[in-house]
Amino acid sequence: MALIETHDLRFVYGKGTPFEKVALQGANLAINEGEFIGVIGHTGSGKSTLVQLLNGLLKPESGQILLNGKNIWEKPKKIRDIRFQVGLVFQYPEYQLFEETVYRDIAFGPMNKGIKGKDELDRIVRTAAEFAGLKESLLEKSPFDLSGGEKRRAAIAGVIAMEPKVLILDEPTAGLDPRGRDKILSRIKEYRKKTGSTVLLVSHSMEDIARVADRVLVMNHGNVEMFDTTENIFKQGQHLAEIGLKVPQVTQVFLELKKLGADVGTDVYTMDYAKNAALQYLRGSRTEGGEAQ
Amino acid sequence: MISDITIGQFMPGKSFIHKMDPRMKIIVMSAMIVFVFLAKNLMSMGLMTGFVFLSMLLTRVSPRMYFKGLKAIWFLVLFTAVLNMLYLRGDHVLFQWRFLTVTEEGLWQSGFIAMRLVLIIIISAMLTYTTSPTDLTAAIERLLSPLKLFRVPVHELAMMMTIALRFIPTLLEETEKIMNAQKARGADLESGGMLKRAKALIPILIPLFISAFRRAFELATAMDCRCYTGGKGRTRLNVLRYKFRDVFAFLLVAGLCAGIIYLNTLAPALVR
Repeated sequence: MALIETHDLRFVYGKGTPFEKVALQGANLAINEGEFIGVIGHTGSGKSTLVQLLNGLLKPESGQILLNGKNIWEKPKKIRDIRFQVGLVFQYPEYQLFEETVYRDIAFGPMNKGIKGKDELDRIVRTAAEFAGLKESLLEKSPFDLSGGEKRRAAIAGVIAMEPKVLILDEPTAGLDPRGRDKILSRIKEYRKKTGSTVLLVSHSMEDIARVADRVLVMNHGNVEMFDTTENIFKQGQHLAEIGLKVPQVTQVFLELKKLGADVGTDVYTMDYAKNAALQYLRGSRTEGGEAQ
Repeated sequence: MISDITIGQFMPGKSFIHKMDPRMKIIVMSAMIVFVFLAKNLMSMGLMTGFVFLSMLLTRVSPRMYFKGLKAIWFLVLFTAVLNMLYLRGDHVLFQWRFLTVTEEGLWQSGFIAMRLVLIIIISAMLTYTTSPTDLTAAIERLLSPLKLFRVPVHELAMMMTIALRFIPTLLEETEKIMNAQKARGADLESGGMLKRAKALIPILIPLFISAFRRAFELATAMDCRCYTGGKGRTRLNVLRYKFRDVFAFLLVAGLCAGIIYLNTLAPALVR
């Protein structure tokens, strides 16, 4: 059984006003436990709506979301419990920081969850801070004194601290410098490896998705356009281009090489793959060349 | 939800009323609000109501939006009406129970007052639904410009109003975002007593204030960068000009005024 399933999930913004807009028109998908899913789609494709539906911040117009086989809206009063199980890190999460110290801000989620024991809270906060790559010395500082990247990671720690089964991150690297991005991505990878939790990463950066995701969910005009392994998705450069998306830059390089007549695969989507594929091709052509001589 | 607030919201459109000069709209609609109080018998009130409803349809904004605006204050309307009904003592007693007396005159009075409130709300909603905030403040600036003679900083006031209006939707959106982010961290905003609820607002208000200040600084810098130094010597991209339709609207409302006064003389007043 899949961990998260959605059935004909539909959502409309501003129903009954002139601004009415269908954001999701019947999404069906299944996500297994422990998977790392990349979510891509151009602006307005319904990605953000989808992730907010998954943790019960928005209520679907029609259709169902099953978490562990149970409809999350079965008991609307208990929807908060769902939010602890499906942790959502919003875009630009640093704007949600409010406490006097980073430590207390990270503790906000677990305290809402009802964790009272001081030792347990301490353990949770410190583990979350470590996962997010925050130094001990930062914990007693005011969150407003941190750098942009640190603020972002403090906010992510605040969600990790709820120890959710599923962690959803909406564009966690937006607006950060390359080093800040790398740090966040590698921390998320590490977190997932150590805890085995399910992670959904929404991103505009194909490179980010290619680096970390097992499977990629492609959204287009409120529909699930494709949902397949990263390899299979990035093979379809043409299809992605049609819906206004791109393949990672390395994949583009290999597509061009192919056009120039080189016998290389077009399912190359990370630097490591690219290196191997290029070496393989060069070796191959050299031996061929050798034979010709 | 916060986004359900419709009063003061602008609904873009291309109707006659949308296209009117905002200055004339303010003049005409303020006049209409005054006329609501002129109508004193069923005939004149009928004319006024008919006129307001026709103009409402003319805006091409769904009546449902007006209804939503009314929903917000129905309690006030009801409260005022009931109070008036019990307060006014006329000669024709219809109903009496202990100290409560309902007279025919009181009933008319309360009916008229409820109707007046409803009409005023529809008229003001009509103005904000059909006029963009920028147009509205431009019009106010122009209409108030004679006050410059008395050293009232009209331009600055209008600019402040424009900015305030401009940021209402932004801040509402921001509030909703922050609320969602804190809800995602399990913040409980819906239950508990007064104190608990007030405390639950802290995680929302602090980030909201911080972002409001940040936006204010950014806006000030952006205005400085574009050499904003106040109203002196500034010209407008879209100069407001009265057109035929504005004259037409003016005459129509003047006619309405005459009609109400005339109809008032045909039958005795039902309301003071």
